[in-house]
This record gives sequence, C-alpha cells and structure tokens, in this order.
Amino acid sequence: MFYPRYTNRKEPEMPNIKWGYAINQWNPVRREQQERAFKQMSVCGFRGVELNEGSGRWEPLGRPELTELNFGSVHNFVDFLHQCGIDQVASFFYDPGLYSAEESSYGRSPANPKDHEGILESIRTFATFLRDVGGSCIVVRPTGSYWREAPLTEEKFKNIAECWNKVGKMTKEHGIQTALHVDCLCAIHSMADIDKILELTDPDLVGLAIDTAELTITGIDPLRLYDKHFSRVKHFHFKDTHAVDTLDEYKNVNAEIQLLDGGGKREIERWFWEMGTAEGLVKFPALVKLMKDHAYKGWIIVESDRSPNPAESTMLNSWYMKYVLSKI
Amino acid sequence: MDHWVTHSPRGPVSQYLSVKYVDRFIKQIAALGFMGLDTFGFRLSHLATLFGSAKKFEEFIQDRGMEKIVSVFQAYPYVSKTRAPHVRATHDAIFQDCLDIIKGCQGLTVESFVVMPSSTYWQTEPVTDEKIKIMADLWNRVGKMTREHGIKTTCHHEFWGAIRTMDEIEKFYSWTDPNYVHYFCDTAQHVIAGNDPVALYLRYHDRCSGFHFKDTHNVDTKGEYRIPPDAELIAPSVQRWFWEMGTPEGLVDFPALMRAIKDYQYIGWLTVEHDKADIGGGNYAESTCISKWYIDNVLSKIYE
Repeated sequence: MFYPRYTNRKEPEMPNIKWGYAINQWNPVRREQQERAFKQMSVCGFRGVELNEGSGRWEPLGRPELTELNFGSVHNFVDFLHQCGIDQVASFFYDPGLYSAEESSYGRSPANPKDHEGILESIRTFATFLRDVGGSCIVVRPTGSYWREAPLTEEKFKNIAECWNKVGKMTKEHGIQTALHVDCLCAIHSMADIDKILELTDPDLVGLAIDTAELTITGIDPLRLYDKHFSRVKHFHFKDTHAVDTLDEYKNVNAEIQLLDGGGKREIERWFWEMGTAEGLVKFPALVKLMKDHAYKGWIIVESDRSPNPAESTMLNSWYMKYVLSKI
Repeated sequence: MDHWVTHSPRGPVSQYLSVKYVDRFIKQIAALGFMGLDTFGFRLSHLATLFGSAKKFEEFIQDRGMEKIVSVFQAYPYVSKTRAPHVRATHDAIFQDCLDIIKGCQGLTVESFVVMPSSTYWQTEPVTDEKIKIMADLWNRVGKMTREHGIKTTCHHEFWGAIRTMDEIEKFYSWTDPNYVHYFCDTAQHVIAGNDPVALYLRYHDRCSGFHFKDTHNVDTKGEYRIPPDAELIAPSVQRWFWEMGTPEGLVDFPALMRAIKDYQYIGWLTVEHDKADIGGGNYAESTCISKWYIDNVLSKIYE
C-alpha cells in the first residue's frame, strides 16, 4: 500500500461562502508571473480571483481589453485560469479616480456630475467582462480621498449617490452587483457617511463591500457596520491590521504616500496583515459567526496588498481560513 | 525539508528564530497539506530550548495540523581534522555525534536519519575503493546503532560529494549492510551529477527509505563538482542549481519517478525540498506553493 503523506486540495466547509484572493499583492506582469500567482492562490484553496483595475504597460490584467490583447480572447484567459486551478474571476476592483491612458482620463470623481457619463461608460467595459467570465461583483471606490474631496456637502453626497445608482442599474442589467468599498483614505469616512450614502442609493442597485482592515484603520468596527447594514452587504475583503489611524492623518495632503506608503507620523511599518496574527485588530471569528447568522451567501476575497511576501501571506491566510474560520 | 529563510526587520533570518516565527512557518506548510517535517540534527537543541523539549516542539506542529518530525539530517560536508567520513581515525567522533542526535530524538517517532555519506569530492579525491570501504564501515556502524533506536540510517548523495557516480554509488551499497544502510533519493542532486534518479530508484528500491523531490535546470557538464570550497554555491556556470517542481526548464522526470514509486509500492514519506530557493530573488514560500501545486495537479493524478 502506498500512502502519500500529503493531503490533496481540501475545500473549507462553508457551503454559502466562496473563497477568493485579490491579485493586487502580486501585480504580475509577465505570463509566468501570472501563472505562479494563480497557482499560489489555487494551492492555498482559493477558488476565485479579484482583479484590480489598472492602466498601461505595467497592468496587463488591469483592463478587459488588455486581457484580451494578451490572451487573444476572454475565453483564452478563462482557460488559462482553469489550467492554473482557479475556477473563475469573482470580481473586479475599480477606482474611478485612477489615471487611465486607455480612456484618456486623469481620474474622475463621482461627486462631479460631469464625470458620471465617463464613469458609467468606463465601468460598462468591466461589467461586460465580468458577465462574460461569470463574475459577480464590481467593487468600486465610492469617491476620492478625503484630502481631495472634503468637505462632502449634501450636494456632493447627492451626486455621488446618483452616480452609483446609474452605475448599479447598468451593471445589474449585466447581472453584476455594484458594491461600494470604503477605504481608510476615502472621503466617505465615518459610520454616518456610510449610513448616508446607503440611504441615498437604491438598495436594489447599490450594495456595500466590507473591507475589514480598511474600516478598522478608519475607526469603524466592521462587525457593527455589517450588523447594521447586512442586507446591503454584497462582498467582503478579509485582511487584518495592527493599527488605527488615531491621528486622523487621512486628512493630510498626499495621504496615499505619507500615510499608506510611509506609515504616517508613527511610521507604521505595515498597515495590512494576514489573518491570525496576535496583534490583529479584526475579530474574524465573530464576523464569520455574524455572517452565518445573517446567512451571507457569496464571495469572501482575502487580500494582502502591500505584503512583503505574497506567497507567505497567502499561505498564512489559507491556514487561518482552513483551521479557524471554516470551523465556525 | 526545512531549508527556509524568512524576512524580519533585521533582514533574512531563520524561521526558527522565535516561537512567533516558527508559528508562521509551520502554519504556511500545514496550510498546503504537508504533514511531516524533515529537519537538521543541529536544530534539535535550539528547538528543545525554544519549546522545552523536542517532543513539545512536535506537539506544537501537531496543534497546527502537522503530524510529526519525519527525519533528521546530519552531514560532514567540509573536512576537518576531527570529522571526515573517509578518515577512519575520525569515526569515533562522528559516531558519538550521531549518537547524541539520535538521543535528542527521544520521545519523537523520527523514522530516518539522513546523512551525507561523504565530504566534498575535492577534499576526498582521489576517491579510491579503500576510501569508499572506510565510509561504508562508518555508516554500517552508525546504521546499526540507529536501528537499535528504531531509526533508519539513509544516505543522500550530493552531486559534489565523493560518492556521486553510478559506479561509486554501486560500490558503496555493495559494501554496506542493507539492514543498516538505506538509500535516499535526492532527485536534483542525482540529475546534476549526470545520473538518472528513476534508474537509481529502480536499482535500490528495496533499500530506499525516502526522497527529496526537487528539480534542477542544469547538469554539471563541466566538472564543477570539484570546485572548492562548495560547488553548490560558487560554480561559475550555474548560479542556482535547485528549483521547485513544475518549472518548464526542469530536468527531473517526476511523473516517471512517481510511476516507479507506485509500481514498487513504496511505503513512506515523499519530502519536498527547496535548497537555496532564494538565490536570484526567489523565496521559499513561493517555491513551496508551486511544488505543492505540481503535486496536487500532476503527481497525485498518477495515483488516481
């Protein structure tokens, strides 16, 4: 009798949950780098991938048309994913404020009605792609950074809501959910802000994505937010953090560089961590228990952007998923 | 096999630096489904200090989903006045070292004591029959002792070691006792030396007690195995000898080896090894993922 002393691919036992991983920590450019990244996700038990919007020569997976140019067709790209052991594209992360050479855009703002048409048409491309690859969600940054957009007036809120209602209607026609993703620099920055944008948007068209670490850094308890708005929550990003932005440095000019990259005045060495570190602030078991109570059904995308070692982070998250969360 | 380097604020460090680092290391390999751990003899004392005993370390890995420490590795790659397998006068000292390691395994269920049977080729040459017999005598003696402790002594042949060719390997095993000295198949080391690991496994399958599954992109065609002080590290023509399974340039025929393992109904462990995976910017975690992907998607299917 032969007994190979390793176990084969074993799926976590969470029937309503599909586990995926975000590509952003690898940012793979060459085909073999892409292959290795997808294989790492796959062998760690993640069945879907969340792609990340990007533009130009460094982002061959950042836009549907770049993917088609590289792979010949969307179908070929899906085949490639399957060969690497990834079942599907789950979602796309999209920030309308980013530069896009392909759209000759230096960033658009949902708070500006003049940008709405551009945002709508831009996202249509991504929604079409997601529909074609069997994806389910476009995860969007609802508005720009606080230091650029603040103060968010009533009118700006109204404009932002109008933008996402239009986008949500369009993506729904493609069978794709639009979900607003609040990050630690975003102008929508408090529980009250989130309450407000959800109130102003149509629940049938616009959902919420909960990013556990981004919200915790912001000072928002992701469990409380989820409990309050669970019916609107359509997507999760699971990652941890060891620190909260207690000095409100998100308000500073160039907070992306000063705070997120540089660590701010406290020189935080690393904002984002794998699940399961002793210093982690996110209560993942309690959150998963709550998700079970609210019968959440859908994707959890694990993310470890800015990881110093993507493979290591993916393996550690895999362990936590299999040995802690799936037992809840 | 626990070759591994991890990052710290102080730069690259051992994964066994502290309990916190060990925790991260073990969780990574456990997450992928690896059940056994191969380690070095020199680590046992440190691990016992860190955890209270080797047994407590084993319990620590069991708490994280692994099963056990499978084997312990010991070697004398570099000749010293007091330790050189081809010098009979050093055998008492080597034997005592091995005995100390085996005693350090008490309380564990280690199955194999993996040894390099020789030192470097360049420090041993000319490799005569007499020297091979002296080395065989040493490992017969050690193997008898380890067997009394329920552990198999098994020999791992480096491409730069003094027992490296098919002829030298054949002589060595003909002069060692099959009850005491077993064969260990390191796939990449054999290929670099110009040998076929499948042929070697077929030849010594009844003495085979373990494997290191790793790949290489190069055969040593220039005789670089003789370069002092270490051909693995400073060979002029090859910067990185060892690669994870599943790279397009890999030379080891793993499917053929897996079929042979199946045909002969090998019972035991298959160990994945990444030796010096960080050369050229690689890292151990990624190599481990890629290897396990290859196991799950290619090698496992041979057993289905």
